Amino acid sequence: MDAIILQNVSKKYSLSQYRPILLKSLFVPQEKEEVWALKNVNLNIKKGETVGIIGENGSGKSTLLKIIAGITTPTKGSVKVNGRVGSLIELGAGFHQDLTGRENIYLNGTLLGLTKKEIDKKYKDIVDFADIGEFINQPIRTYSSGMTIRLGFSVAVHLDPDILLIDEVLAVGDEEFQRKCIYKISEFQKLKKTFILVSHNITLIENLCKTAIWLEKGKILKRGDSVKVTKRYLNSFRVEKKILYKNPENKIIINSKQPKTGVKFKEIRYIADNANSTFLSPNNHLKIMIEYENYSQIKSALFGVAVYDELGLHLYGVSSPKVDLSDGVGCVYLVMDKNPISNGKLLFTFGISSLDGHIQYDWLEKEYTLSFKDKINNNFLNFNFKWVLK
Amino acid sequence: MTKRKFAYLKDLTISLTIKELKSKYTSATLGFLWILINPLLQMIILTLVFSIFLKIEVENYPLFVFSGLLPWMFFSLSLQSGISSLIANRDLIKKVNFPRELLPMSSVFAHLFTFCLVLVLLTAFVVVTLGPSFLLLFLIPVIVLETILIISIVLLLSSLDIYYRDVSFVLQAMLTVWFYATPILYPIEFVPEKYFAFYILNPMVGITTSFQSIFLHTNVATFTPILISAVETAILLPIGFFVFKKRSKYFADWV
Repeated sequence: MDAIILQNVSKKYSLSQYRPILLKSLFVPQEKEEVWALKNVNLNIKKGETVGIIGENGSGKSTLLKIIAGITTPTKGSVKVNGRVGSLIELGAGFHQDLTGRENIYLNGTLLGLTKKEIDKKYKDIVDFADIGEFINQPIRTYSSGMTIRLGFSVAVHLDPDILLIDEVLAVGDEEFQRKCIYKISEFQKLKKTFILVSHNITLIENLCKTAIWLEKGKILKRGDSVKVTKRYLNSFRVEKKILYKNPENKIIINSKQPKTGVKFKEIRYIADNANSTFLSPNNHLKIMIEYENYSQIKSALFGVAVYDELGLHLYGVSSPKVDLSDGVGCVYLVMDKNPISNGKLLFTFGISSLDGHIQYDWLEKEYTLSFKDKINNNFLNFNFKWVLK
Repeated sequence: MTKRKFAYLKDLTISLTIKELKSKYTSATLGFLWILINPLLQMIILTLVFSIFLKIEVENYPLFVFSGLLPWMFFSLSLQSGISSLIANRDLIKKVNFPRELLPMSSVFAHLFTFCLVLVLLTAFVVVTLGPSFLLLFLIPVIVLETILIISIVLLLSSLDIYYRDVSFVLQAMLTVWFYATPILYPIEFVPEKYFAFYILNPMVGITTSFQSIFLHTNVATFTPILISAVETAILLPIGFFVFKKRSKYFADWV
C-alpha cells in the first residue's frame, strides 16, 4: 500500500519583498515575479519505505517536504497521504518563551496532532527523554538552547506518527543529542514505519534510507537504491573539480620539548600527490601522514581520527586497525579517495590509544585543520577514510 | 467528524487560548488585574467626561456606559488582535500543519474569557444594587451571537491581513468610526429618525442595546436590531469561513 502519492505536483512561489497593499491592489494590477520550486513531480512512497532526499540548495527538497506535511498546498497536482504525519521539520515550533516546559509540551503536542488525553499518557516519557529535570516547571526562556531542542525533539518523537518527515534537524544539537536522534530514527526503521529524510549528510542517507531521491531544479532526476543514487549524485560534482589548498595550517609539528615518554605524535601533515602543486586534481587522493614516536615498551596501539565541522560539531570518526609500534618511530596514513566536503573547514582530532581503547597515550583535540575550496558550492559530506599502515 | 478529531480540535483550541492569555498577562507585574483595570479606567473617564462636562441626561449613566462599553471592548480588542493573529504566529504557520482557523478563533476566545470575567463582576454589582432579574439570562445568547459575529469578521479580515499589509490600519480607522456609530455613549433613542433605517444596519447596535436593556431593566425595543444582527452574522459566517479556508492553503507561502 502506498503511504504517499504525489501526482503531477507543481509549486509556484511569487517573490515579493513586502506584503502588498490592499487599497492599492484594488486599483493597480500587481506585478509578480514567479518561481517554480517543484515541476511535475510524480512520487509514490510505499508504507514502510525509508526515503532520503538529496539535492543542492534550492532544488525543492524542503518544498516537497512541506507539501507532504500539509503545511503548504501545491499550485497544481494532487497529494494523497495515508496515515498521520509527524514532522521534525522544526523542533519546538510553537514553543512559547513565557510558558513552562509542561505547558509547552501540551501546546506543542496538540499543535502536532495529539489530544490532551494522549499527551497525558505520554507526558512522563516525554519529560524523561528530554532529560531537563526540575526545569520542567520553569518558563522556556530560562532554558539553554540545548534543553529547548531536547524538549522539542522529545515531543516530536513521542507523537508516534505513521510517517515521519525529517529536515536537517540532525544538524542541530550536540553530539550526544545527535546520537540520540539517529538512534530514535533507526528505532523507527525497525518498526517498519515510513520516513523521509532530507539531508546533506550523504553517509546518513546511505545508512538510514533504502531509497534515495535526487532532486534537481524542482524535478526528480533519479530515484532508486540509496547507495547507487548517492554515488551518482556525488560523482556529478567530480567533473572538472579543482580543489585548492591554500592553507598553511595543514601541518602540525609537535613541540619537541615534551617529555619523551610513552607514545607520542611527532608530526601530522597533509600530502598531495604532486607535492609542489597547490591544486588537487579531481582524481587525487587526500592523504594525511601521521608520524609517531614510541619511547615505551608498548608493542601496539590503535590510531583514531574524529572529524568536526567549523562549529566543532562531530561529523565522523573511525579508528585504525592494530598498529605495530615496536620500531620506535613510524607513520600511518589516513587516505580519502574523495574530499569529505567541497567548501569550508574541517577540524581533526587524532588520538592514540591502547588496543581496548581504555588508555589514551596521546591526544590532539581539534588541533589539525584542513580547508577545502571548490568552485561548486555543495554541502555534501562524504567520509570514506581508509587507514594505510606501512 | 470523528470523536477523536473533535476532541483534538477542542484541546488545540484550549491550548492556543491559554497560550494567548498567559503570554499576555503572566509577564506583567499585576498579571490578570490588567483585565479589570483597562475597562474600568476607560469607563470612569468616559462617564466623567459625558456626565460632568457634556451632561447627557440618562438615568444611571455610569452603568449605562459600562454595559455598552464592555461588549464594545470585547468586539474591538478581539478584532484587532484576531486579525493580526496569523502574522503574530507566522512561525507556527510556516512550520506546523494544523487547522489555521483556530489561530484567530483562539485569539477571540482569549478575549471572550476576560470579557466574561468582567461581566461576572458587573452582573454581581447589578444584582446587588438593582436586585436579581431573569432578564440576565438573556446575556448568554447575546454573548454567543456577538462571539460568532466577531469570529466571522476576524476570519474574513485575518485571511486578508496575512497577505495585504494595510488591513490592520484600515480596520483601526473603521473601528474609530464604528464606535461612534454604535449606541454606547448615547442611548439609541437619540438617533434621528431619518437616519435610523441606515443606522440599525450596524450589527453592533443590537448587541449593545441588548446589554443596556438587560442590565438597566429598560424596555427599549431591542428585538429588531438584534434580529438584524443575527441575520447579518448568519450571512457573514459562511463567507468568512469560505474565504479563510480557500486562502489558508497558501498561508505558509505568504508569511
